[in-house]
Amino acid sequence: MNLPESEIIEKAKRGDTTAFRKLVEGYQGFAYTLAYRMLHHHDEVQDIVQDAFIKCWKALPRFDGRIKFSTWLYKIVMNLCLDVIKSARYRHSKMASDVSVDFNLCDAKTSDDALHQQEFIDSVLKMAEQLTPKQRAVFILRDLEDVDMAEIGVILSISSGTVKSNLYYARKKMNELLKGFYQHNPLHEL
Amino acid sequence: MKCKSIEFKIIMYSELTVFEKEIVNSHIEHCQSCAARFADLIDQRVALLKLGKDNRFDLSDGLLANRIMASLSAKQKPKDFISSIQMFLFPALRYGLAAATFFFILIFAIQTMNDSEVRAGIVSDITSGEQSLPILNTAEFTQSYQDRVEMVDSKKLIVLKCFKLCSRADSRVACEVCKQIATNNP
Repeated sequence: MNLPESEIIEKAKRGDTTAFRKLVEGYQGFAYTLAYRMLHHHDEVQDIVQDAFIKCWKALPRFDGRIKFSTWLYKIVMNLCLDVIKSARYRHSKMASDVSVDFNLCDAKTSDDALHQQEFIDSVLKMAEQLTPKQRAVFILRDLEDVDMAEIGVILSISSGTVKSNLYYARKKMNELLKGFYQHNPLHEL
Repeated sequence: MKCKSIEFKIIMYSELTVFEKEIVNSHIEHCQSCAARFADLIDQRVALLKLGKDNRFDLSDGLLANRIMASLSAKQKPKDFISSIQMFLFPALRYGLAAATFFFILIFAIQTMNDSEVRAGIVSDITSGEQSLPILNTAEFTQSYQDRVEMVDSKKLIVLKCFKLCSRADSRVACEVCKQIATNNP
């Protein structure tokens, strides 16, 4: 039986782990994708997503439904990602390890198109690492996740003006970087 | 409008109002360089959105969900009845605790003020050198003081409990004030 999300949340709030598992199954893909786009590191991402859902479970009784559950979860994931980015451990591991490309994407792995897409998004995420953490967060949320501006403000706890200015600088920088990328990889030309 | 001043609007085109978009559109109609940049940015945004939409992780194998649920039960599995009560009482307890703390701080502050006023009064009276303490008949002493002093007959005092200086019940010799009171009122 498919219950509406609000009922599943209510059940989970009362301590029903089966209901909470449904939430996990419903949102783990979004959480994982967002965290991967922020951190670009699979091992780190698994821990982040796990921590995020545990935090979510603990804080669920205080979730009052004023914002969407997805926004609330995004906020938890994003805060954890920003904490990791600021940590010295992450910077060190990024320097030491190359980017892994073992994507397990929805699309067929074998097709050329999927491979090109993998390569392209990998490059985009690599370029995004040159942005400040806030700019990176805003850019990923707006231009990759297609989250609206007001929601981004809620997720990152910043004003709409700050969201706009971060997005402006992020897009400007990414445009320059992508131009350079297309020059070296004409196959990916838009 | 100059190209420099329109740059922000071109980059942020998707976030503009209809009116602002009109400004950009009318500018790029007659400015080739801005039109090219605009087209480039629009293409880029479309490509990124498509990329973002198509490249999501498929976690339907349930491995991560299993891992999350296992760690959840390992950390703390809520007990149905107790956790329900905790969840219900938690906000009330939190606010109640905050209110009680505030109340006690307030009481303590008032008590401290009273004590220091009384103590100052006693010290000044004692140091004035009089044999018997004239303090019982003055209006300077508060209820707090009178509670601690018992009049045995019309002139004599017994200190039942010390003031702020020492908190012992039998405090005749514990602090200077009590000592003086005891000396003056044997």
